[in-house]
Amino acid sequence: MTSHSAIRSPAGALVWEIWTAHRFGFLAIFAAIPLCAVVAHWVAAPPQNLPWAQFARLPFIGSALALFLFFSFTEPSSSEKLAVFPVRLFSLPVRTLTLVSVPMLSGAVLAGVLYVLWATLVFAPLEPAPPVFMPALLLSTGLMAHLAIIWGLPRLRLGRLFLSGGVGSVLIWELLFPDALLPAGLATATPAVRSLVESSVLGVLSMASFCAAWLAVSRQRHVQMRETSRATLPCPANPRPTRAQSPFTSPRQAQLWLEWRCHGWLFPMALLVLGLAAAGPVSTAVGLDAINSLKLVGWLSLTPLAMATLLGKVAAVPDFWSCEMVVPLFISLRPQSCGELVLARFRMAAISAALGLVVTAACITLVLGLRGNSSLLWQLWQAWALERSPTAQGLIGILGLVALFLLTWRQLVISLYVGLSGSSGLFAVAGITSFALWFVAGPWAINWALEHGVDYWEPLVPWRLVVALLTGLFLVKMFLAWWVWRLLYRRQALRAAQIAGYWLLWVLGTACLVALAELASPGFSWVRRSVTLLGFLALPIVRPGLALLTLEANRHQPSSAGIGLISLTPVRLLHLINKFRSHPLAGSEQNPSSSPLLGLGATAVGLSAVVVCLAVRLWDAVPHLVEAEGGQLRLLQLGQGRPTVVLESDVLSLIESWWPVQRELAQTVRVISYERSGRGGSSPMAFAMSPKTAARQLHAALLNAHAPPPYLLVGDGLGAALARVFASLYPSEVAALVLLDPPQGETSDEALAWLKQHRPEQLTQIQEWLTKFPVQVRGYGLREFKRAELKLDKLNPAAIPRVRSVLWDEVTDGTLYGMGVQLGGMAPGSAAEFEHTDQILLEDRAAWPALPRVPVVLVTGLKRGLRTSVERDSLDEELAAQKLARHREWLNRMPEARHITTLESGGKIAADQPELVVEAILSTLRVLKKS
Amino acid sequence: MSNLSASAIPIQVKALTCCFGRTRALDNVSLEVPRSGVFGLMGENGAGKTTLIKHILGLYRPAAGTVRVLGCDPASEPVKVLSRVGYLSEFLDLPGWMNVGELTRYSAAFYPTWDRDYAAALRHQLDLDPTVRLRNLSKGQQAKAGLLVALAFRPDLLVLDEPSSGLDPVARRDILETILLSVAQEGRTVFFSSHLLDEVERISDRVAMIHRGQITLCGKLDEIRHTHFLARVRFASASTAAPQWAGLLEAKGSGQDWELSWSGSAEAIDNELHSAGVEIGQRRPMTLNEVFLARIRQTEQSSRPPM
Repeated sequence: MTSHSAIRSPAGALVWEIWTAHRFGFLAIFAAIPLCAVVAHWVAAPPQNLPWAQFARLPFIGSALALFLFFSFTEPSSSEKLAVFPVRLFSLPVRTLTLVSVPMLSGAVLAGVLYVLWATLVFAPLEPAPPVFMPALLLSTGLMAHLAIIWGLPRLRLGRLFLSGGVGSVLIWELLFPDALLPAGLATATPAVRSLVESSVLGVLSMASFCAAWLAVSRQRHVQMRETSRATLPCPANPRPTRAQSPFTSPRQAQLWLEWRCHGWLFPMALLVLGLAAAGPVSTAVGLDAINSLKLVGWLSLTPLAMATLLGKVAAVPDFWSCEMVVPLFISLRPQSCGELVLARFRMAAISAALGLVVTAACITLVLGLRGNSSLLWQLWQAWALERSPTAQGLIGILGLVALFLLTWRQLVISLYVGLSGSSGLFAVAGITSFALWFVAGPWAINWALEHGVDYWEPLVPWRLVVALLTGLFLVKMFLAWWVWRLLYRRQALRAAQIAGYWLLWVLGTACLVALAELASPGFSWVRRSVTLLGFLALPIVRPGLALLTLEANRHQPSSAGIGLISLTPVRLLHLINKFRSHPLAGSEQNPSSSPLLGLGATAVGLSAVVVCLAVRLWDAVPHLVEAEGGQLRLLQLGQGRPTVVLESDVLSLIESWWPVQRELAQTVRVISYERSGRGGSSPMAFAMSPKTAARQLHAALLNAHAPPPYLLVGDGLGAALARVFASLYPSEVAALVLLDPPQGETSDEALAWLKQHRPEQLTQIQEWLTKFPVQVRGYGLREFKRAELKLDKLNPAAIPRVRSVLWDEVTDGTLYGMGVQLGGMAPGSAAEFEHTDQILLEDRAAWPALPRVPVVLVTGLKRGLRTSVERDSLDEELAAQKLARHREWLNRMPEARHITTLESGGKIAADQPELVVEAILSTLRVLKKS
Repeated sequence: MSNLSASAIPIQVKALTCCFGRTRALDNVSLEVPRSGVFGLMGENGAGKTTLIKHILGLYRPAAGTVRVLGCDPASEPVKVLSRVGYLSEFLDLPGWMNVGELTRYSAAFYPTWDRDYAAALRHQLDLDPTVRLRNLSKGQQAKAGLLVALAFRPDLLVLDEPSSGLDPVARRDILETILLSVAQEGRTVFFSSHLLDEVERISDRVAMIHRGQITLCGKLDEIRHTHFLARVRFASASTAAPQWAGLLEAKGSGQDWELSWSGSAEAIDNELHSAGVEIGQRRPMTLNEVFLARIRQTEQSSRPPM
């Protein structure tokens, strides 16, 4: 529609108004769809299949939020600056029905169309492909309900905030968990019936929203004159007696009072409402058994952070209750510097955060005290506390509370610099981006990581890139902080004591976060150190200064008023940058004294040095890929000194399983841990898995990593077999062997032969069972069945059927089923090792005669499982005796061998008793030194 | 470092220019407001009055030119300036959730010179109930509350941006009387903008006229009155246009009878007309309203492209 063409109907005029006000936004939304479609098809299609493909959904969230913003169709009320239905339209000769229906229905239709376009063009190649119809209906219903709430409750500011949040939560819940709105009785109905019922529910909700909005706007239209006359009533002739209030002692106190009355109370109040809802209706509805109590306490604990993130975005504007972005004249004209105004915001955020946490703690106590079941919580606490000393527990507890306060406070103030800028476009874009990151991408990424487990994602993370990125960010942050605070100090925007005070607080807060990260984060060095680096980045040091600058720019420069228009254009950005550059204070540096600045600079340089040192150490402690024969192996090399200790993992373990051992040994000698091909971060090799192949790959990798022989090989479980094969292939390069529970058992063929000979009547049944499991675990299954049958030999014949049933169940339902499940998420290398266990055992045995005459230590784990019956105890004892006998038999071949037995560990000695492994290796090193 | 002294010139504007996009809101404006007395700024809506006042308060930063208030740059040193300047506007934007008592309690904290007794006296004088929320006050009472806060710290300079616009006559009278009283008692400087010319004429000592971002007239009110005349004249023969005399602002009429608006001394006008053979029917000083309209029309005619 051009500006010259006549608009023939009121409805057309309303549509034209909405389009004209937001045409660039609409164009951007619909231009993003084909762009994202191309990206989604590219990232989701083979061979990419990128795990990040799901992020292609993120722009949709932004576009949906923007659409809600565009169709809000409100204007600031003249009296309270609150967004209400445009009062100016009431004087037009147009029916209220038209005024309400046009924006509402056009918004609902467009929302539905928008989703359908995204679903069919962008989401289609992603897995899982989402449904098309129901989410579109949900989005349309959500838009109508949103409009009904903001039009219908023009004066209840908090009411519409909470009601919008409540309705939005229900609809998002339904979107994430389909059929959530359905009665329980329909759970078994056909999908068509369920869809019909659900559509009807949403249709009724839409109709109700429409009618409510219509009635509300009609009422507003007809009582407008009455409202106006009420506003001009004179004040009462006999005023109420006033309560004497002492005057404020300082401007700071007065400003803090104003901030509290304006919006400071919102955060603790919102937490109180949510906490009481959790203690009352929610806990009644869900029933507080141990699991639900744990979940509810978990959610309540996270609520302050989530609420602070939300309120920190929306309350960052100059006046929370106004929809205008300019600093209110009433505030602008106070004889108070922008620095004091910003500091008042920061102080109020600290008070709000502290009160909010107190309220949350009280609500958790209420939930647990009234009807909660804290048994599981208590068990978790005990399990957590077991691994830590009382001092560490107390320290982590205190630091954790401080960190929670600091992070909550951070979330409340982090967006101030955008909110105070006065740029509605910048504010909207930053808000939508933050919302998408914190409430969509963040939870999705955490859920994804938890689903796959640390073992899966840890090798995928490019740690060195992460380290470089975090360090670079910190250095940039320090540089910007130095620049901003120097600028502010020289312009006397803040006093030196105020700047130094904030820096001191920042240093102390950061030290607290870093200490907590070191104490409480996971044991892997690179994970912990990365979290530590994040601790250096968490608290704002640049943004307070930027907030002051943006507030100055907003307070002392003309800026555009009004909301609802995405006005972020390159011109606008340039204008904002120009505001900083053309700051009038730039030419009037009023205090050239630089001595206080030197202190800040020294702090920045010192902290940067600490972070760089940390990053350098971390860089070394990060595994890297080394060329091997036909591929690359992920390898971690620490320490210096000969011989080179090489750690061979068991079939499912990765580099991380050796971390306690490797960290300890690295102080004495060069230690290398690695992942065999096709596991963790190592690339899968083209040729078939065999111990000799693995040994050759390791040898090549060691040479490429400049790790010279001689080698002290340490093998855990199946890794011990591979260590022996390596020693037989390169006898001159191996100085010693440390074997942790090496496999001495038989192959599956031998187990089959035994079963044929001793249990022919059970063999058919066993083979039937085995056909139900993947081929990779069948050999392992045969050996397990044989072990189970062996246990029965010494039992009373009458008890055999019963015990056999139990043992077979353990093999099938426990071990084999578990392995079958594990195979789904198992690395291809580990799966191949399971499949080729027989070959590994045979090559291991073949290698024994060729083993070099070197010191050997064999550690046998004899810890029994957690059994309850006397019969089972005796059976495990028998199996342990057999293992011990086989190990002793093998040791007889090795004249320089030493045998260590332990009752503290079963099959995972490296994980259960790292100190024992370290001592075994160190003692071997001592022997080598003597010789 | 600028020095804020009581003897500094209250407002000094030099070559101030401000543009909003392609619109030139202020065009090379220079102005000096002396100490004591009421300085009125006249201009139609959109002439640039509020823009100039926002520059004076430091809310806008000069794109070109300088602004000094009490010797300081208000945008660079807002605390120094605003602690000595009271401000009242139609759009003061007082927080509606506060009551009058809270407003005075809050505002008092920012001004070391806040006079509590004077504030109480003003509150009684303006008939304000301290317990009533500001959003429940009428527009006139809200303006009074704003005036209370603007005067109670005895500012050196009072800036009023159309303070009585949209108010009923009683409220206007109360506000203007309070302002005049404070000027009379304390010798305060008041900078006062309005498009209600009778109001400006009633209380101002000096006036400036702003039109399309330019100061078209500036001086003492008495001088303006004594240098602007309206004369009804009769030409010797019928004419379609008045002669282009120096000082002639506007000529209305046809044939032989014309009405001339003139800027200059009375003697000079008489001499000019007599020498041209024009018969003077009636000559009287122009009202401020007539001067304002004549100046605007003259500016518009001079800026109109020739036919």
